[in-house]
Amino acid sequence: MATGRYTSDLEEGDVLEPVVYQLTPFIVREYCHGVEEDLELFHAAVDGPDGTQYMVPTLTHIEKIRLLNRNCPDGAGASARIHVEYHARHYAPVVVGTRLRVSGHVSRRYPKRGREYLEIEMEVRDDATDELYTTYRDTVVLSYRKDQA
Amino acid sequence: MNTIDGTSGTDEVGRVLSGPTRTMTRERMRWYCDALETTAAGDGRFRIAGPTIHNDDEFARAQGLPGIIADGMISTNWISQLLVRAYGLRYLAGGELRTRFVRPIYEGEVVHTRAEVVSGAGAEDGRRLSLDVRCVTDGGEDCTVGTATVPLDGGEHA
Repeated sequence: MATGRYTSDLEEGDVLEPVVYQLTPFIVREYCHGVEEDLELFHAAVDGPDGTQYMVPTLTHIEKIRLLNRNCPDGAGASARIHVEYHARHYAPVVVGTRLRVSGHVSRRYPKRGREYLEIEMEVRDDATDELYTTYRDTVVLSYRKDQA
Repeated sequence: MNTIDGTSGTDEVGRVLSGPTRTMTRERMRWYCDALETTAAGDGRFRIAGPTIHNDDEFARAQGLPGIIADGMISTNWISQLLVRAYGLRYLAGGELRTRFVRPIYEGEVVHTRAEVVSGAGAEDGRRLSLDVRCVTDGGEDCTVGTATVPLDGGEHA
């Protein structure tokens, strides 16, 4: 069920349908490749001799993309989303293989200097134990072009 | 990996962390776009991202930009990597990072990544290091700025 067709349809107070998924080695390694992260901590095999493979902390931002893909399946809308602020707080390291539950809501939508801002607050938890791993607040501009604000 | 073995944190104040100097290339912007699509899908198949303001000049210009700009998560990752390398699992277990993208980073710009410990105690939820973090162009302009905190005390995961 989509909350809105586009991200630009979202309104303050909208609760996003949660996403549950398994954090796989592939997801973490591919993210590492994309951001040139070479620490073995994020590449080691889940059951390898060197221990545990962990999630890159900034991968939290992809949780937001998952939520938006689920809730706004047709994308950003008339204007591109422009990311203006990232704010993540971590409470425990996330081990690859964990089944994660990502939930979130639209905490604010407001105009500022002719542009429309959207703020989403999220939590990432262990789907089995409910342990909190990360809280995240993400702010984007929905309409960068002033003539589209 | 943990480098905070003391208990006061005061000896950390003033510590400066510096990352490698990097050029924001078109390829780096593309790599992030493709990784975003691939990891968000998460089905084990590689994706090539469609046109965005980060990988398609025409698309970017249609949005009022002069050309492609880097996704803010690239510079955020450069900052995060400094923190992970300095504080290891302690950062993964209790760190916090807030970045604001105050100026776009364009193709070809040279970027320096830096963090400085500005205080070593005093958070409501326990003693934490506080850091100022930023990515700056070769010309001295701030692009990505923010703050980070790292717990001083170990905890079960550190």
